[in-house]
Amino acid sequence: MTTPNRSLASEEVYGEKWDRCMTDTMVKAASGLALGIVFSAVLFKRRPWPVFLGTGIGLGMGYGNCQNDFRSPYVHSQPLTLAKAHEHILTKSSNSG
Amino acid sequence: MLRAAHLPRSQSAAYNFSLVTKRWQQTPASPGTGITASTKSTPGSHTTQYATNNSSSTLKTQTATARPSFNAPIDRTNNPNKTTNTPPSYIPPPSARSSPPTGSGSSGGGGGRMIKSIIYGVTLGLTATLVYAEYENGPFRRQLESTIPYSSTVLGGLDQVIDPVFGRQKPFTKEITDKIPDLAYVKDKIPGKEQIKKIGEQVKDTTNNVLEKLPDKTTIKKAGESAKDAVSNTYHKLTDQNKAKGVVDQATNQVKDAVNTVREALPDTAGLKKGLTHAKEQVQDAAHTVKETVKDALPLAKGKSGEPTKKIGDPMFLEEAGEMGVPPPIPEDKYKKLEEEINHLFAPLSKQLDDALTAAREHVSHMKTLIENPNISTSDHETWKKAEHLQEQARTSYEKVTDTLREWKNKLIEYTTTTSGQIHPEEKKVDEKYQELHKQYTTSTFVKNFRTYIDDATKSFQKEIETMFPSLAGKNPTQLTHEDLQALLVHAHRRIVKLQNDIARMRVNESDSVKAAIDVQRADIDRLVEQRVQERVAKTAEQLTDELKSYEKNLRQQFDEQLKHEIVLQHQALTQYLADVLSRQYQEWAREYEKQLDNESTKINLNLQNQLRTTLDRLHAIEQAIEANYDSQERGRKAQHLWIQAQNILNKVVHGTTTENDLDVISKIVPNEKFVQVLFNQLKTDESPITNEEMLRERFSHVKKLCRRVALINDGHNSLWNYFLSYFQSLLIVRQRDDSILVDDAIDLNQLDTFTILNYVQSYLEHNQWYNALRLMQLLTGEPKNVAQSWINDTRNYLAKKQTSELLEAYSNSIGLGTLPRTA
Repeated sequence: MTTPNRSLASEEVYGEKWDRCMTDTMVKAASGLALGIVFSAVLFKRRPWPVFLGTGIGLGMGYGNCQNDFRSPYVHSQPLTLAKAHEHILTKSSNSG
Repeated sequence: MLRAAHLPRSQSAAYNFSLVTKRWQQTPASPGTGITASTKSTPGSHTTQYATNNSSSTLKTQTATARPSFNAPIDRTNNPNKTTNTPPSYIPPPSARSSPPTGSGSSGGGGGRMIKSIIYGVTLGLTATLVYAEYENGPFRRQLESTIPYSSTVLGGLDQVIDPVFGRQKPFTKEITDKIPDLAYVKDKIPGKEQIKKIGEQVKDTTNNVLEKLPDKTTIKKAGESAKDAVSNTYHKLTDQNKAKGVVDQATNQVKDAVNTVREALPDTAGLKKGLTHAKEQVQDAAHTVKETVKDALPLAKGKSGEPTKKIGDPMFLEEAGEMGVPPPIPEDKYKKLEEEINHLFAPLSKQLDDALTAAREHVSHMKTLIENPNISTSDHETWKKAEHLQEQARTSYEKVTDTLREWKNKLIEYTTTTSGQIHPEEKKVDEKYQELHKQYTTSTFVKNFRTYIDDATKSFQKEIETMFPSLAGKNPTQLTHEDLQALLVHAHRRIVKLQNDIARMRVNESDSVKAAIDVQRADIDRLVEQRVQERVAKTAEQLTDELKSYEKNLRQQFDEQLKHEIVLQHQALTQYLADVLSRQYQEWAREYEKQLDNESTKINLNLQNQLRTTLDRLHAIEQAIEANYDSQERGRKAQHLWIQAQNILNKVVHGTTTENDLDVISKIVPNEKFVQVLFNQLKTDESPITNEEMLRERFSHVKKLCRRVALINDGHNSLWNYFLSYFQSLLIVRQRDDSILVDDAIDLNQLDTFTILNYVQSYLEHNQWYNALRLMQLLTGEPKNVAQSWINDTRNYLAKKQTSELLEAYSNSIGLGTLPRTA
């Protein structure tokens, strides 16, 4: 399913991007949270702020990644095939004609 | 709980708005971290909420913790639990449970809370799934419906609420699969299946009709070939001089056959017949004239016998025999036979007669000697025996003679009757002889008894002597006395006198009788003679008359003969003349007939040749027509096949299932058509993924959704916020169905934006105007364009393929049209 064949569909790209984004964000947030909890528990005497910080960092990173991903310049392959086909037909007709 | 589930979708937008407004209200007066956290969290929470909604449904487990934070802005004052729930990362869909669900507070105890939380969690999960299913409206929903029994009803109910509010239509996929896809555009090009069938059948019928009308090609070819062979043979024969004779014979046979028909038509046979009858009549007339002339000449032949017999006067046709004037003579053979027989008989008869005569004469002579010899005595047996013997002989011979004579007489009678009175010459002699014989025989018979007489006389004398002179009887003659002797003498004298008296008397008697007899006899004889004479006279008269008649006949015959001769000659002459005339006439007519025959035969010949030529030409034309027809049929068939295949391909392209096979088949059908080759190559090398319209439509719906969602995103730098905003915008903008594009094709290029474009394209698609849809889609800009790019490409490829296959079909149509049999 995740073959390059699927990634060529432009409408899927968007969805995939969002999926990536979400998962990424979640993962980051979760890991941030976890780290925050850990840090809070370990280093900062169960204060809540590392948790928040971690989560926030995670979220922010995720957000930033998301944004970056969405902003990446789109390099779609132009429909060269048709043009080529057109040329092909033209040349052929010119040859035959 | 369920009711709560209805609301989330409808409330999401409105609730967001309310949240936003409330946030703006509450931000100046919001102390504490909770609120800030809540405020901070709300945008993130909203995003995350949205993200949650977008992502998979595995997040529904975290709803329990998220809920109170959702409640935070509203119940922040009386909800101490909120502070504990710091991570508000998971916000459940809003629910009517926003009303304080648990006024129980902390006194509810852990159990109650636990239960509550579980209940809330479960409810949340359910609502989440339902909402997600409703939102996604795709595989997740289908999976849900298939696995959980009554979820379809629940979701259907939800649909009924959601669809009008959000303007969400039923999924295209469902609708399209139910009915035949609205390929109206395509349908315009592709005839329906029934039509295809009809057309195919029509074509088949027409071709079959044509085939039936035209006889089978092979038979025609055969017939044509055979006819050609025959014709060429005859033609060669006609022109070949080496086989002239055979040709001539054949021709003559043919001509004869034709001539027979001609002959029937010719009137000459009737004419001939007429001529013949005419000739016959002429001949008859001529014969009549001849007859007349002969008749005039006839008086010479009349003769003495009075009027001429008719037969003699008719010289015409001597077919009938003339009448007989005289009785037919004895058939000569019979006459001769009789004569022979008579002659034959005569000799022995005469001999017999002679024998008998001699025998009788002998006897008589013997008897005479005996009688005259007084010394004979009765005791002389020898002589008596001899006499007897002779007499016997004579008798036998006489009997024989009588027998033969009887026969002879019979024969003679026959002879006399046949010769009409002619007496056989021998008869006289025989008569004489017989008479003599008879005489002698009578004397012999008379004399025969001499001996008996003598015996009787002696006996009587003795007896007399005994009676009269008994005494003397016993005496010997020597003993006789004189007295005896005198007595005897007296007796004797007396006897003698008596006897002499007797004799005299008898003599007198005899003479008298003799005289009488003589008289009688004379009379008889006279009568007989008279009779004879009369007979003779009559006979002679008859004979004379006969002779006369015969003479006359003879004469007449002679005349007749002469006449006949003359007539025959004339007849011959006439017949000769007639024959000449006839032959001449016949020759004339024959010549004319021949001439006409030749004319007719040449005419027929020419006619036949013409016919032959025309038939040959026709044959050629037929052959050519057949060839052409065959060619055209072949082409038609090819075209049909091609067309069918093109249809096939088109259909498959439309439905998205082309195979290599189809294309190869096409290349096999028409290997020579350049155009087809080009198209075929194009189709073959088309490597775009296989799609069909359904898929494209589905994808379009998806694409549309996405495009709407990212409508605000352009090519520049866009943040996630922009994404959110565009999403929000998509939620707000309600699509209005705009079919005006279909009527008025004008598009104001300045006023295009994503939504309008999408609207237009939607309506185009709904009406199957793919080309227009594609054109419009290409006008998208920014992120929507990127999103729709692959769709556009695929659609373009698909349309290109379709176009090529349509071209192929059109081309096959054009070929097919050219080869259909022309009517009228």
